[in-house]
Amino acid sequence: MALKKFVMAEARPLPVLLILDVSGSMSVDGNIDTLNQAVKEMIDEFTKQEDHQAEIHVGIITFGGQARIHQQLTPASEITWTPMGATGTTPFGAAIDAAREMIEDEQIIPSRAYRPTIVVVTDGQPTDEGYWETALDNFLTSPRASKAFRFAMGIGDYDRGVLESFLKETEMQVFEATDSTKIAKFFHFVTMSVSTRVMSKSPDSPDTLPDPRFDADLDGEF
Amino acid sequence: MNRKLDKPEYVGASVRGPSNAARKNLKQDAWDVFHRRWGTLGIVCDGLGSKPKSRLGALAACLAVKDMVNQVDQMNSLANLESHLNSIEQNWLDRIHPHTPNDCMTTCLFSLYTEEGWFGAQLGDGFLGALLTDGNIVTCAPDAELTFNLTHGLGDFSQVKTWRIFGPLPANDVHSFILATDGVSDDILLENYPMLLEELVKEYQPLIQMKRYQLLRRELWDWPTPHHLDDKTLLALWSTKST
Repeated sequence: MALKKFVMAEARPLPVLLILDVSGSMSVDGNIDTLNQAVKEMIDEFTKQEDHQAEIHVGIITFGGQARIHQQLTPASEITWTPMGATGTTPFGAAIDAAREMIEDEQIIPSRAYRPTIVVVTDGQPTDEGYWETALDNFLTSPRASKAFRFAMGIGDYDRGVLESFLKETEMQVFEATDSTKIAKFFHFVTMSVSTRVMSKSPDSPDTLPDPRFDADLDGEF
Repeated sequence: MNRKLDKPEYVGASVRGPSNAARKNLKQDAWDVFHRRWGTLGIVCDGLGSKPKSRLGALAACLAVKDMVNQVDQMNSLANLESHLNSIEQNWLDRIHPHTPNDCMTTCLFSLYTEEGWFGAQLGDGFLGALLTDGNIVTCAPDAELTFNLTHGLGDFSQVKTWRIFGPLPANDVHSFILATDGVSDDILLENYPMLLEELVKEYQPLIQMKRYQLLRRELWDWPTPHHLDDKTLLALWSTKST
């Protein structure tokens, strides 16, 4: 049997990339603790999805003082969770740049991967003014990143315009979290969305996405 | 035209993927091989799963390419393949009538073996490549738009379609030729194709045509990638003169 030994034995990956604001303001009202808990629960839930159509890989880019990769894209089941701390400014543009570079790199996300899900969470305004706009434009026009499914949540006194720009040309709305309980609800919603995709026979179809006409205040049932 | 052109050997098969099986849909891939006096044409098409008539679209595309080659052959100008590619879509529109192009969208890959040598042409995703006798593989240039299972094809008028082509490659320089839909190519690394083609030819060449088909079909059925979904179609051609 000539074919078998040349065919990949790994399931196609479904990347989930979280771009998370960990600036100093996220320490207010315990938001960073809630965010840590919500991300951990998301990863735990993804670990249970291994028998479906795709293997969920999770990567985390944080921006607080500087943009850095907190978690390389890794199968959810192989992640040992390390909580994030909150400090510094809000270099959103640098984080978006790092995300674009990760998504465009076929060594990190192969072309056989299902369309990535990208989630942005922020509670403030970008501090790299004059830079983030270009970075976001590059992101939205890049060949692969532009095709990803996108979600965004603003916490407290966030800049709605920034997140609306991130969601441009999607049917998604900005999720608003007025208190920390809604952070958990948002991540539960994203988790359900990704879980629905990996159980679908067409994980890349936009039909698998949740109804974008959700209650923006996240008071609905999930 | 050289009427003594040799006839390449081939093995091809296509199977329905688990996704279409679960939906009780028919297979939406199609393939065919035509031997004519001008040479040999191998075609593989992948009807877009989200379109209601994509099976028809894929079947019609096989015939549309054959129509194009026949039309060109009458003018004795097969060498300049690129200038004739646009006629494939018109032939395809005639073939799918009265259905709409959007309902029938399909990718289209074909190889053409003529007295000028081997040509390859590709519209949309999948894999088309020629293994040279020196061990190198020739493929179409990558298309950055084709990623995450997004593709374009016949019937897609929302963007500029770009046929990617290569050739003619001298017949004596080509060991074999492979065409595959993305259900196959997404699970095979580029660097594995040379060895795969060498082993395919070695294994299938001694078999009669029906045995080749049955064995390849079984291999596609027993696809080893966990949770694979797509229809799978693979066609390999080789000239016995260069293998």
